[in-house]
Amino acid sequence: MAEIHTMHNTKAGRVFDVCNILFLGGVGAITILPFLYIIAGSFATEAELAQRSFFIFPKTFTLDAYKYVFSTPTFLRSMGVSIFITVVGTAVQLFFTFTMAYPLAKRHVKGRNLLLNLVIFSMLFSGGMIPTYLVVKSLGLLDTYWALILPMAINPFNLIIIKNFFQQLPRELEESAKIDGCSEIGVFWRIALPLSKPVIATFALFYAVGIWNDFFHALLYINDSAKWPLQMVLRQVTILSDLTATNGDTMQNAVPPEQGIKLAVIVIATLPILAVYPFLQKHFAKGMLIGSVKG
Amino acid sequence: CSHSETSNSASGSKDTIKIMAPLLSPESPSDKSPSLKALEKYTGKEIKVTWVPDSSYNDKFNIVMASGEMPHAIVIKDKSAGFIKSVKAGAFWELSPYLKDYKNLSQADEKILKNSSVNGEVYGIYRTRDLIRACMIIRTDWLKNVGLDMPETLDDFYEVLKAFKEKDPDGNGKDDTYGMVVPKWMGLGNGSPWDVLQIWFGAPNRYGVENGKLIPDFTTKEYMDALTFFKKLYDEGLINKDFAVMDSAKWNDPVVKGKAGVIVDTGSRASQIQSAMEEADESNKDIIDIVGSLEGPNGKRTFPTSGYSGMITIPKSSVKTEKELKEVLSFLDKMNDKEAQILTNNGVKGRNYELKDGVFTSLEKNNKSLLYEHEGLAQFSMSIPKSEYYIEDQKTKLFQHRKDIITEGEKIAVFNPAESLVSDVYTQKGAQLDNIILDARTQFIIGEIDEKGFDDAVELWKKSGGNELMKDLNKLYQSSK
Repeated sequence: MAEIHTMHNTKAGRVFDVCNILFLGGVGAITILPFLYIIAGSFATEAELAQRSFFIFPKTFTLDAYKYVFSTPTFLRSMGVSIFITVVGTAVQLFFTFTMAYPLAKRHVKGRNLLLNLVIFSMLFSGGMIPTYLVVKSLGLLDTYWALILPMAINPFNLIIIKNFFQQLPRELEESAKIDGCSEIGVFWRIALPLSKPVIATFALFYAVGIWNDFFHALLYINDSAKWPLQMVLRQVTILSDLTATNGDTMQNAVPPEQGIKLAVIVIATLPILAVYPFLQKHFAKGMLIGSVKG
Repeated sequence: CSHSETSNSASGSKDTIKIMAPLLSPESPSDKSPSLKALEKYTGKEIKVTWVPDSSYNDKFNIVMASGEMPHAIVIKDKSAGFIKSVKAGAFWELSPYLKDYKNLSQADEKILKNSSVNGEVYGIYRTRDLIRACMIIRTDWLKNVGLDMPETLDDFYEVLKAFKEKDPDGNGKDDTYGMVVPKWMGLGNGSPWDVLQIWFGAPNRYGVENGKLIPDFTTKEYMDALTFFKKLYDEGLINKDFAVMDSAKWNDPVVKGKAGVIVDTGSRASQIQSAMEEADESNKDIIDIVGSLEGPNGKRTFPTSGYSGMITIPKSSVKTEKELKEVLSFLDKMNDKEAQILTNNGVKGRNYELKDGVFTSLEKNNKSLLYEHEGLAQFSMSIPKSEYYIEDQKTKLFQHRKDIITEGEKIAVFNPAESLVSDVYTQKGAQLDNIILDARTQFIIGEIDEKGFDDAVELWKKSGGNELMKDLNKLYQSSK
């Protein structure tokens, strides 16, 4: 403490502080400014977006982009789809990952090493896009929301981290619970899970963000455009403006979607998942380190 | 629910037509879209469309081909390696013997049909596009400010670009403008500003014919002349210095924002820029104009498109018998009737547009949702033998000029003699081979290599498979004649 105190008072220390604040402030600004521009742009007029390269406050404030986005059924419907698959998908993923990780953490379980090696094998070698598609197809999952949930129910990397976490729980806890008459499943539900709240929160976030941001599986498995999640629609809207350069068109003009609408869709697609962070924040910092530190 | 439908897709007569098509609008037409309903009524078929985002179309195509679960008609965007592979594996019907039996399809344009074929065999019905799109887009107010007339030759063109850089065309007293915007561009011979200018300079379109044999365009003298001209533009700062990396989505911005005055691209881009500038400032009416072709050493020439954009193919695994094939073909034939063309391109009368004394007025101006009800459907509209839907007659000078350059351009278009030829060598190595030339072109313009360096790149191209490619193409060329 004393050392730090003196450092602040020396000239070099103060120069260092100023540089530090400027540098970190700069990095912070680089991160936040694009967000602010997108939000500001979604409330600006098309003319302003065409004329000004960058702004934080629009000169004329308009809700046109949002009015359009909420006036068509597409966006609301796809948002409903996204929320549904994220909530159900995260629950399914957490359930399967934790119930698989727990027994794998127990040394007395037979065949544990074989199972673990199989899991690690699937991390290194995967079936590839088309074989996976064929599996999903023959299970009759095409065009269902389950196709976006079940194929990625367990992430092997997460599974191993959670397994390592369970392994560090003191064995004495389990033993004492058993002495008090608790079954194996009882130990899992009453002892292990309550102790892993930070881990659950962390992986819930990982999984939820993963599903929310995923468009590729929907692209492969969902043929019915009424079932597209929000990210598919977002991708469609944002990528379109580049098309006029490469596509043959006729005298009729292909009109790319307006810039403002694109920005509004980006805001709408980002906000819900952003809103989840603060609730999990307090667990998050704790949970990230678990599994990496021994003892 | 879905697999029960798909499992009987291959059976018997077809009341339902399943189509896979790329989606280029933010929203796809819903099952309840009035235009789709009307189209179903007109064709007498239930139409089920699998919409695939345009940006990922080829991925999805490969997946669908691999899974074997195919719709009755698939839109093919280009002759990609995946498509050629499927064709060679016999996945699609060869249609040439059948087309003559259909009212519209029989009138398909011979030249375009040949362009769209795979070495002369027709595996899909092409989607008609304007043959001529290339033009020079220019800000006429700047032209007036620097006291020059519309350029007619390449020399005039250079004068104009120079004046736009040096004579302060926007009159703000600052040296902050330049001549022409050029974005980065993937691929060769697909209509980049360089491709268009090369044609104006007299170079052939991709391949020239010398003593009855095909030669690559970049071995001609005219090509080098064009390249030297590009280098001069770059050295003198008449084009943007970042052209090799500039995002083509931002192509219009420098012109709209008043930094540059010229773009070489399509007529529809001219209209886009015009409306963007008008939206920003109403006094910008009629500010953008176009010229179809600039006269070079070999006279007036223009860069044509292949006349089509993708085609509609019919897979054999879902359409098993000739009888079924004929059903699908007669559906596609009906799609070319005037009524169907209007439904797909204009929508439903009274809902999407009005007709008063034969004058067409769109009702979709401020209602995008109405537009999206049918916009996607145009993806499987072929417009054979010709487009018969309504186009709003904009009474602007620009619109008239766009029509003019199409009529004028058809006479002076320089075609690619190898358009229909699909060489295995190109399917395998084409991308790498093209990249050698693309890189060398960019390096030459920015001065990283000189003429000798460019010749070295051509040598490398020859050694990396270029010689093989030319041999193969020439063989195909001789047998297709």
